[in-house]
Amino acid sequence: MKAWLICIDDTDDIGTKGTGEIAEEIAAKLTPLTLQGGQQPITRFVTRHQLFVHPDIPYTSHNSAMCFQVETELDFTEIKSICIAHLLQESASASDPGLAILDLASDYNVEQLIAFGQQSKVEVKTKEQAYALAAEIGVDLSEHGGTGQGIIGALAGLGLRLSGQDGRVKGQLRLGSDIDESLAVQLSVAQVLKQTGLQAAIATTGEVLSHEQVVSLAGQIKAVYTQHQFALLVSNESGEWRNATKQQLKAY
Amino acid sequence: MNKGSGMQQWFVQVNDLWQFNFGVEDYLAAREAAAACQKFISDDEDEHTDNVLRSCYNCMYRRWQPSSFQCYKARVKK
Repeated sequence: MKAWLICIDDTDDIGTKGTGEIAEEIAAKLTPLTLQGGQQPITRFVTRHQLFVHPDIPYTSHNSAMCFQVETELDFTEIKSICIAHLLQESASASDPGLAILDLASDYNVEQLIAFGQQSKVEVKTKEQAYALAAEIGVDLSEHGGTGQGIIGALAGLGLRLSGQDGRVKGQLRLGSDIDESLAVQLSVAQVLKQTGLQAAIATTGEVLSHEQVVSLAGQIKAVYTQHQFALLVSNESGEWRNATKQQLKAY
Repeated sequence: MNKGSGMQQWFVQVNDLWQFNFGVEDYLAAREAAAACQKFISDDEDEHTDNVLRSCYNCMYRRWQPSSFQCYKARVKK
């Protein structure tokens, strides 16, 4: 099976289905869970990548791209066809959807792609720049309605995911069915990783927790993509490790 | 907004929109403004940046700017 990195952007409008949800639906269509033994591979997690917020950029409300990886027997034409069909079906009529598909086994210039992503967090990029880079490094980039402006974020999202240092994981993590999530619970990092499938618990300072350390979990439990790992983000509050607040997650 | 608690308490008029006057990290002000707003609707949970649900920072009608946000629901009446 080949691995593909796919990113979409600018598919929604106020009050319509979010881009993250559409990304999850596409991922599910490309790799039905029945083919994965009922368990979602961690790489299929959708990551949300924050891009530049600026008056000159026509985003809906927050300018973020959604990226995911799939491993599939489908060929490129089939993958792209499924993505486009779903985008056309689910994107808001006033949106400007963009789609980027990267064959992870291809010989692409990852540094250039990462640089484009990082630049897109701090400056205004153009469609021309995105198309030029995509053609140069072999990313399939396509627009599917409206102005097609979403191609910029779609390409940038690929780069940011590949940087291994950007993005919040869409959705909330679920602990085991024997754990009452309405209450604060204390678990070792090893238990958290086993329950959630995450790869690490990492502090806002960058410190990687050992498997023996204990984390107090309360409220919504969210993950980030950092240090090339899907990680529970934690912070130390008065000597106790706690899952990150929304305010702390905002930086990712 | 409720009677007696106008937008001006938290927002400043910019053209035909209201711009939040307390930046991107004044959570107390964002919660107060949302508590007084009758048009608050939660955005996707993934887009929330405040742990308290009812906050303008979590509202579907806010559009982020570099150092603040604008409210796209409560348009300035002309």
